[in-house]
Amino acid sequence: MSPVRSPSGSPPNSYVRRLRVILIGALALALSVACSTSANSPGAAGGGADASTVTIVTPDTSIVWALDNGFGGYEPGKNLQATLLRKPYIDAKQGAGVQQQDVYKYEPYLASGYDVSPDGRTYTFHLSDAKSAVGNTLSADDVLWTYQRRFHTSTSVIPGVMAPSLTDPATQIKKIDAKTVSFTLPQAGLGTTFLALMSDLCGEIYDSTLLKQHVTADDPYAVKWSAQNPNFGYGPYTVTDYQPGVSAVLTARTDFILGPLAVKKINIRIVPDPGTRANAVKNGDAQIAEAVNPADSAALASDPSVVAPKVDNPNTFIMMPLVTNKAPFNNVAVRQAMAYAVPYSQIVDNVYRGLAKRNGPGFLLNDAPGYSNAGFPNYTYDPAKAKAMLAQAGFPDGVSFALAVSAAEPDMQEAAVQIQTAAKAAGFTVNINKMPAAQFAQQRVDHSSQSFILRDYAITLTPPYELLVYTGPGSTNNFADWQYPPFYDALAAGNKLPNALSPEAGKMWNAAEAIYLNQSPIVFIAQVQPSVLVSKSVAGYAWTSDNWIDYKNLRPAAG
Amino acid sequence: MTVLLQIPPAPSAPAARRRLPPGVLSLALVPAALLVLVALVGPLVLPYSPVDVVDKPDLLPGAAHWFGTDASGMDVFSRTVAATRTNLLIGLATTVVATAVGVLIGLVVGMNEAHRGPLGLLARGTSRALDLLQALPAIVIGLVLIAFFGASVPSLILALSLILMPNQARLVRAEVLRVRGEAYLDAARMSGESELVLVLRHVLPNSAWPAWENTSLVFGSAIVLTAGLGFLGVGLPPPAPEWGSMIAIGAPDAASGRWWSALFPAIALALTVFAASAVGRRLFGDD
Amino acid sequence: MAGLWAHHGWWIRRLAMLPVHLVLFAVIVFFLVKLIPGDPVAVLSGGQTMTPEQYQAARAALGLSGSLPAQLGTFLGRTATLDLGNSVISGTGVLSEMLTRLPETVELAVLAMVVSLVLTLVLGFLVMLRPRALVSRTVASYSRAAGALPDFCLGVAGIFLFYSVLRWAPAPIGRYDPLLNAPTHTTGFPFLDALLSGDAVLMRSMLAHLWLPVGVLVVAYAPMLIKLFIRSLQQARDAQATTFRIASGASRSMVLLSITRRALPATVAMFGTIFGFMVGGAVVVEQLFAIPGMGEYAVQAVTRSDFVALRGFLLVVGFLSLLVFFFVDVVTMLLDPRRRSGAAVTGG
Repeated sequence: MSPVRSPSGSPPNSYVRRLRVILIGALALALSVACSTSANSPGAAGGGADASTVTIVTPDTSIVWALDNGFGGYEPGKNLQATLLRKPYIDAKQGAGVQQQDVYKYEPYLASGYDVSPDGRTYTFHLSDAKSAVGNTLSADDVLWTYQRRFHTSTSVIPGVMAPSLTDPATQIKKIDAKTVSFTLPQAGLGTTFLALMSDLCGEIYDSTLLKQHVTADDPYAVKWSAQNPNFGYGPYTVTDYQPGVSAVLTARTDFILGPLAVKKINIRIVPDPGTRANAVKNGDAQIAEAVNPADSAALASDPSVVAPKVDNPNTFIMMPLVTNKAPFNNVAVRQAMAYAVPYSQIVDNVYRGLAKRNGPGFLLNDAPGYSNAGFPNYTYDPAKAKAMLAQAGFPDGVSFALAVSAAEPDMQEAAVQIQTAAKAAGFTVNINKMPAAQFAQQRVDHSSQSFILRDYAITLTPPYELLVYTGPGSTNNFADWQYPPFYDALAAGNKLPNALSPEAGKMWNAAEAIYLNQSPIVFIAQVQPSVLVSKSVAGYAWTSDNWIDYKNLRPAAG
Repeated sequence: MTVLLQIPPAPSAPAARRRLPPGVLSLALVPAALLVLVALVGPLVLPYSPVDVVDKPDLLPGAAHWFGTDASGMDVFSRTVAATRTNLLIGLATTVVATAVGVLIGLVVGMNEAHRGPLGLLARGTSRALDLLQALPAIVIGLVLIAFFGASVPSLILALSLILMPNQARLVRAEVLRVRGEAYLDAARMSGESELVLVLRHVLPNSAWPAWENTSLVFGSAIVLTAGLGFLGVGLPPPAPEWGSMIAIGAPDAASGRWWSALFPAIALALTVFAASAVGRRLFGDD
Repeated sequence: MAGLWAHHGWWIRRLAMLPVHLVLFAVIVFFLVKLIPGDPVAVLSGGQTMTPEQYQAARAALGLSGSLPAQLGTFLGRTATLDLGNSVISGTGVLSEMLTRLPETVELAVLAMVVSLVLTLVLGFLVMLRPRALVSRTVASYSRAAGALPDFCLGVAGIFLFYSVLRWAPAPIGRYDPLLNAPTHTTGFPFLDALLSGDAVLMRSMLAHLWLPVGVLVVAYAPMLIKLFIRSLQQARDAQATTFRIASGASRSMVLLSITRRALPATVAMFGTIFGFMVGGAVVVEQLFAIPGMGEYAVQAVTRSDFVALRGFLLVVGFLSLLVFFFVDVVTMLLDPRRRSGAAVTGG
């Protein structure tokens, strides 16, 4: 039937024999090559029996290895890097091996120490002899070059994050000698925020000796190269296998500056379904699950083999920005009424199953030294009051508006549904506008929706930073497009004081935040616990202000 | 997604197809009739509001909530019933639009393909483009279109019609090419009928039947595609009741043992597609 | 020479049309992808603060400046040199990502299609030869409702039943146990690589992880093949040619063979369509079982408005589908030479 008929009779025997020899040879070669490199010995798949390996299941966060090459999942990348300073860990009240960062202490890490000048504006860092993943020793040039790169790359988010502490590295950062480098700030009051920044992502220092070898005319800071070659840091782990969208394997370094690590291998697996991630930890197929649904965490709360970490003061907030550049939320009374129409406790109970809490109406963490959250408006769910306020503001028949929510965040959609139902009684008609994550990001940036609901956090936890993170004039991060001079004046008054964590400064922050909340551009709904599940076989999960897990702190649980 | 643009093999001759005996209400039509009844009457007799939080989340099916409550605390029974209207509306409207537009395009392309000049070129180009569209996964085209138009009932109908129309057009075009050569057309032409009348009176009735017979499949595909888009997160915005979004929201819960919020809409979905194919079989003897 | 052309012209002509179709296709894809809303720069920066200059620079770097025809020209030129660009979000090369994902997806599709094919043939003949048997009637009625149970429902139910309750299947978190080493990269097809490297442990783990997703695909899609095959078999059986053969005293096996040969073309066409679909559209099974493949890539590209990635995906999947359609056409024309002269029977 084939149109290409084989010639009658069988082909010459020698041909067949030769073909057979070639085939067998090729197969044997493939077998021998393959066996020698990666064969798994029987019994290797013990389901997590090896205590020095931790398997983490996570949704696809589109891992970004270089902070200045876009915004994405930084967690694996963060564990390849080390920062000049770090915030120490303390045990959480919950116990069970759960820890949390003390966000107001800044200890040496890559820097062996730092001095502050008498005027409080210049910080001089003394560098340790940390070795990079490829064996280069840390130097002042690394620090200088790293900040040069970050401030001269169009895809870098760092300049926006570090303003106003650091705006011009060329004049603000000075190399004193090969192991000493100084940073000069515009005013002393920014010092605490600066130290916090140097303990977070912005404090990561890259191996400039390695990166400079891969600089090209198109890529003057080797940003593109480093996106594909992640091992350019001084941190605890190196990437030994990476398949985008599938898995990553991180292996512990033996010459890491803080000494040997308890967990030798981190196995990251991308698992899109949240229910499956939770189940995998419950059944012992993985040790840590990330981005777990609150309902699943709550359902597993009584499971003896799993712990859902609860920390004292999580920094992730559910918030509802009310965009002030258009009706109806250009009217402050309508914004305030909305703050009385949100069913706070219902969201905490129904959506987060108790894995969230409301410490008052504000956004500043209430445990900051010198600060108090007293005297703010008492926003609670009070539909009658909201309705009366709306009527007084000239809307006796109520108000209708669009609430944008990202399709990628199921808990936000659930919260939106709770708000929609509850706000009806207050005269608000909420039209939920679910959209793809990219479209949501765009509307957030250009402030085009009437309102949003989202989950977000400030990485740097100092009062002045938190106050400015969603209110910066002209900032894309100013969700509500709210620019209010009296608030900026109050903030500036606080920044004039030399110590941001002093009681005097605390009063200033309280006054500024009172303006913020009375104007109600953003309804802060509740603080959400970390959305992770940890197997009891692993200890040392620590909440961090960036909410990315610090692998070097993990260890097999005792017993 | 179980959505394929299925092409039923053309029966040997149109004369061979069976016609529905008038006045016969077959047993096969009962499920479909029931569904239409639920869609029409259901929303009037719901025990709870289908778009509001009415109780604690994740309640097991019981006396108060026959199908339980979902993760938000909405009543699954009320939502499943209310969704019938939405899903049937999308399915029916898509079938009508896709078939009408498909028949029109198939006619125009088929009649003009052999012409010289720009019209023929355009027709041949359209014909190739329709073929090429088949090479793209429908669900991805749907994602792009919905992402662009935004998710609402009209935009879903529009996007699904765009996805399902090319196949209808292809079926009609193939038939037009066959009919075009028939002797009775030449006879009609010679008797002085205008080209438009010719097409409407002779070509259309004789070439639209494969698209007509394919409608039950188009309907089923529309229902499943809607649900598929809902599952991928681009369905109607919450809390609009729609089976696909309900299954999508319930799926992670089902994986952890709370099966009810996904199961009931899934059953409703399967029943509907089944009922549609039963109607198709009854009407067209398509076995 | 003329004889050769007469014999082979039909498929050579069909082959020659492929590049033309590809160019047309690339143009369609370009405009389709232009529809994706959302600002890739906003996604890229995660909504962090950017100055207008930074914003413009980022747009230019993504190739979003310039007029539409100019953008189309650049796109076609690059595509012609197999340069599919870099993902807007991750910065990785789209082609290289396709080359790692495609074999994995194709392998899954091939496994599912092989099982489906065997099932179709066996059950199809069973229904034709023993139409009254219970199995036959069950199969016939399930296949009649083909597509009524979408793959996402089957997948969710399968995981719930076989993983959560019965624990017959391992955790649906990938192709093999996370603690095992990946197979040596020889062909890019994971199971084939494991086979080639003689790694029995890995192979066993892969089989354990694959049976459920493959099963879901088969249960979801095989009914369409079976339905079509049964119908074609019945039509072929009732055709005059068959009556003639039986009357002329041909052996039972000869009659069966002839029926099969006439019933297959439609089924082969459907086979091609389903295969093409699985390569690009089996998103849900990929998501549920954490088997990252082509479909998932496309969904992510849309939600992150990664237009470069989506364009690359559509081109690759479209090219592959055109290739599959080509082979399907050739096979149907081989089975039924009458089809050779007429219009192409792409997908049908």
